[in-house]
Amino acid sequence: MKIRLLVSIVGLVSSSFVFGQGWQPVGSRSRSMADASVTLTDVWSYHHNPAALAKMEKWGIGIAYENRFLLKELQSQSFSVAVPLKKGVVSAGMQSFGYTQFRSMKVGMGYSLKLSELFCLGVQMNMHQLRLPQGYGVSWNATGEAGLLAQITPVWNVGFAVVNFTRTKLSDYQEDRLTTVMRLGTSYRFSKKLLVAGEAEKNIDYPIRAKAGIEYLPADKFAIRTGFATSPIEMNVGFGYAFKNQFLLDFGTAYNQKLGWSPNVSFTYQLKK
Amino acid sequence: MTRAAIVIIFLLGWTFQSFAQDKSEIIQQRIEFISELYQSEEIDLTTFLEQLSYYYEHPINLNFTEGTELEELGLLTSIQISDLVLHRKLFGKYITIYELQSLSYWDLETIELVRPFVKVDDKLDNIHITFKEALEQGKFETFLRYQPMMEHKQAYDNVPDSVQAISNNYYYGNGDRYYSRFRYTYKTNISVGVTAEKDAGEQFFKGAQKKGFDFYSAHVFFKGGKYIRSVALGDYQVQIGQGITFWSSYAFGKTQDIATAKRTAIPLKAYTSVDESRFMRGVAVDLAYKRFGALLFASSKKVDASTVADSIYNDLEFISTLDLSGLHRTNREISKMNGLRENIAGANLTYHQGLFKAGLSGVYQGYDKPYLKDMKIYNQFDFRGQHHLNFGMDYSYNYKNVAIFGEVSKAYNDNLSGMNSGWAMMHGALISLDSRMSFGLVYRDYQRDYYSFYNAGFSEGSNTQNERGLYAGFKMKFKTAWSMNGYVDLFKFPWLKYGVDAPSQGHEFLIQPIYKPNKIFEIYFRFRQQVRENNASNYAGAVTPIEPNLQRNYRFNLSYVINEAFTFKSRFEMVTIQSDSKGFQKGMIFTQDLLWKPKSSPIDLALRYALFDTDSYDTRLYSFENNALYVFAVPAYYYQGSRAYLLVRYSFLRHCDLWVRYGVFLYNNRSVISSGAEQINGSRKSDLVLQLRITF
Repeated sequence: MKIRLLVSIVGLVSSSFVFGQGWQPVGSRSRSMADASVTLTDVWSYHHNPAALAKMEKWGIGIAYENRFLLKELQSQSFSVAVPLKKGVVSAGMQSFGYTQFRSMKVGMGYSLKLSELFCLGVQMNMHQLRLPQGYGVSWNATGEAGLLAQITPVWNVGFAVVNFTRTKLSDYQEDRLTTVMRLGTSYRFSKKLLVAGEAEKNIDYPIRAKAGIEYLPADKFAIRTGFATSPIEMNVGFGYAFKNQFLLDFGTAYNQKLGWSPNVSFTYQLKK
Repeated sequence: MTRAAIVIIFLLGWTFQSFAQDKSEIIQQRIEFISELYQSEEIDLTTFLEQLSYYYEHPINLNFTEGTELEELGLLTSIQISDLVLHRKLFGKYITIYELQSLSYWDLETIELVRPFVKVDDKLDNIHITFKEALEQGKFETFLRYQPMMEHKQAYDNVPDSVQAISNNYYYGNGDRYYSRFRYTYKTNISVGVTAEKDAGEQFFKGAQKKGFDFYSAHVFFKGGKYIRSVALGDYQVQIGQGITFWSSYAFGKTQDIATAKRTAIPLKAYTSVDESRFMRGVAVDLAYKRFGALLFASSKKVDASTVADSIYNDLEFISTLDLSGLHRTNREISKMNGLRENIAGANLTYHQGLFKAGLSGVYQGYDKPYLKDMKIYNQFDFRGQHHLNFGMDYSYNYKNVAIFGEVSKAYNDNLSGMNSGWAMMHGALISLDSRMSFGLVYRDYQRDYYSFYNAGFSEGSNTQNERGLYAGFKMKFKTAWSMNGYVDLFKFPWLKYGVDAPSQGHEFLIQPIYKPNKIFEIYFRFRQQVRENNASNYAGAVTPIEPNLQRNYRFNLSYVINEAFTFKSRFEMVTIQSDSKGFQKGMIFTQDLLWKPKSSPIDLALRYALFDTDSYDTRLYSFENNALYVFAVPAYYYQGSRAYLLVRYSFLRHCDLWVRYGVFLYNNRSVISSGAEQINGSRKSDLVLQLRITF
């Protein structure tokens, strides 16, 4: 009985809230700002907008962990790395979600390029593994991701990203495809201390989401973040601290009125500029 | 040639004329700014209006204020105020008001907003009052208002006395409303006044109202001593902390301006409105000694209530319901009149040091008969009994760009079941993240068995009870003409409510981008979404389920000051609601206002024409209407039809002002308006206000 209940909760949650099968936002900084992160540049941009990585000047690497609604079946682990080359930035990322009876994994590489001071472009290819051991087996599929980032003024950016523009098919049965997500967002930097971001996200299967986030640095090394997103309503809060200017520890939590808390943490090594 | 020259000179003069405004217009603008924050028919901005018109004539000296007066303006945030006070302490007195621009949390727009009410002066105002001076410089003000019944309503039908004596559908009095007020004020230091009112349907010098008006209110109020900060005798208002333990007047709810989330308590004020239940009647004094303050108050007044005699204990009477409407028109209403005596005594001790303030409060409220409202599952935790106590602790502190505030309160009463002793608390912070962006957070947790009769705590529900929620809001300005406001509020009602047969939850958010390229032109768009759970109206089975109700409001607003005489305002607003059992409904309103206030004319006009079309009463929309001074109207527009009004103000003989306002609703698709006693046969509902003010 208990297991059945659990499975149905997991099923409900994973299908309608967490996972549009193919993309899940990761990185504590992004999560704490309600994932209004399509214009933000850090190593986690791998999972949000490949174009934003073009602004990386030094290499960085990070790992992140999130637990949705404090359920042990809904844990996610992720990784990303970005290395600037002479021309452009090359990046790689990985993300895994689920538990023994359901696990999805994505792993891939991307390349980002500054076309001019005002305009960046990025592309990515990811392999998706979906594993349902009880009689369904394992599938492997490839998807393509792309993004753009444009600077309107030095403090104002606009970004666009699409996940799975290839509309990759998962199986022929019922035309089951990995989800496709489009994001259009903007961010405005009021000062060194304050960044505000807003974004619209359309997942092909779900209503459009509006998201907004604030990042405030009361001190150089310390950040407070908060965010809000609609459909479903979600509130976020998080903190970040920079050790020796290179090691970034970010943690935070999302809150859903019906399902509760989703704590997340990420640890990033970012070589100083 | 000459003619052309005259035209050219005229045109040049026109262009270079400054947009100088007169007092009433300046105040009117700020009042509209404040009233925009309200979304209800019940508003009373009398205090704001009085405060503003006083400070217009007696500007606050920025070189001496400690901030209290600035808070009373209702136009500034506490961070801006503490910024101003701190800056003066660090860098010395201000030389000009424009120096405020150099402060981190001030901008030119804020300065323009408060400029008429403040000054920068080196000399300290003399607050010594002599009797002679008070009499000579004091101001007398008289108001007479008449609001006749325009269309015949069912309740005024001519019926035989025998029918009227056994019915509750007929009113004894006529349908006119009379109001009069007399008040003497000397600066803000002394106020003596009498207010009297007869509501529509109440008798005048007859029947239940042998003393003439149905409602009288009088006060004597003094403010400004060093140790005795203020004293009130008669009717007064008390505000404590954040409005959880005790707050006798109304306060802002959730508004698009985050600054209103923080309450600024004015401990003691004279009462000059005509709400017949929300005020104190008795004595009160506010004392100060060094950093300490003590507010002591006692009130005893009769309230309307229906009395039930207990059949088992014959002589024991108890109260089953309280009636707060203040209307005494029918047999039933008259029989409830003054059915219960309410006694209140309270104290608020405060301590402040710099920008830190803390207070302890205790309030007793008791009745002369037990109050035992009908026991229902949803209201089982409400107050029942005769005696009730509240204890509270409140604080506020400003540190750099952060203002924190809050209150914790506990209720006790003599309820036999002993269940009612709940807690209530709220804590908030307003943070100026940047000179162009501020952010606010309010958390509240009011238990289901917390009870306080007079309260105004920050809440989604109508009471400071049975609610838990988190509110976050922001206000930001971009470098261009754009700015943006917004908030998010998530709330839970841990116990049942009236019409909600299960614990429920919901959310609300609002976003409002504003485009204001200059002082004369402004456009804004507002989107608000609210979800609350209510009982479903169609369901199968024995248990009433609850279902979410989604409401969305879209508003587009344009205002344009064409020249110094004309202001043009347009608004389009739409509301949609949706739930499983009621389906989808919508409503819209389209208003056009024109204000004409020529500079040197004794007459000014306000004109509105509006069309509205709503599917139901549930999709009604509220809109602020201009009215005679001290008459506040934010009526609901519903069904289908048109609305028009014309307000004329005429100033004459230097001391007199006359307001005449005629408004009319013409409904398109109905031949009967309202129902029951208030029913009007026909499709027209109109209203007329005549008001005369004499000041000398």
